[in-house]
Amino acid sequence: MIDVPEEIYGERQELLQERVDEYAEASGDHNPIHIDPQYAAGTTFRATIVHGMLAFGVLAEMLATHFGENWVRGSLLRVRFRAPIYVGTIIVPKGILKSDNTDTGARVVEYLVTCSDEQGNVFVEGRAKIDFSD
Amino acid sequence: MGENLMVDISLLSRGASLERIEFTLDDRYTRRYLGAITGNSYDSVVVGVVPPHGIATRAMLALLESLNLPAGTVHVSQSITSHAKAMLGTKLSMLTTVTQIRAVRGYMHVTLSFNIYDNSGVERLVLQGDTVVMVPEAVDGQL
Repeated sequence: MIDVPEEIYGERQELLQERVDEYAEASGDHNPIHIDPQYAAGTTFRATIVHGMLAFGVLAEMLATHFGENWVRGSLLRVRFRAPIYVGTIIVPKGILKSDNTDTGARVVEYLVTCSDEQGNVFVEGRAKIDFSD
Repeated sequence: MGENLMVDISLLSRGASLERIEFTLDDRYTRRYLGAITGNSYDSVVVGVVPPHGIATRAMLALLESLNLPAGTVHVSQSITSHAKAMLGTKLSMLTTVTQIRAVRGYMHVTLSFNIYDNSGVERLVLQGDTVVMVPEAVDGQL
């Protein structure tokens, strides 16, 4: 039986500079806006910001945790990076079920996914589709 | 980074295709990536199948190595569609096309669409995606 909850949550987590630096090393994205506080202070952002793809990865991990193999093959994740996430922000990844459809024979579920802070400010939003067909 | 294939993103036109890029889902990259997005030590990461977001980010790294992105380039949106799984150690290739260039409030937004294939045996589509970046370069009029 496939578990399709109305709401799913990822791990609430604080994105500190060390974590962002680790992501920069892993991803090869060494844009100074993410890793160099001195450089970032001179930009419109005024401080370092988290890589959008790090937040994307956090959302994707939430889906991977809930849907396992079905996330790995037969899934879609489309997000827009709405606002910068400043280093040090505590983020809350979340998904809200939008549809659960079997019209085409296969079961396909769609979630509205967001990455926000504890005050509800949304930084990343989009949708995820998981196809449960074999 | 980049070697001889570096392409200046601001010089690309719509419909342009980048050279095929090959990369491997190696253990070091995959562990570091999964460690960074989960907040776990990469020593503790156990990997067999590389998740689609890991493949997409590895592909982004390959793109970064082939494109000359000016400092201050901003990632606007990202989508991925997973078609098949890929195991650790798999060698993949990526074909990338510039599918849209448009001016938004005076800045250039570039959409790069990519297909990632597993070429071991019969070529198999593993992942598709679209990346939109805003290049910090003012543009005048029609692009």
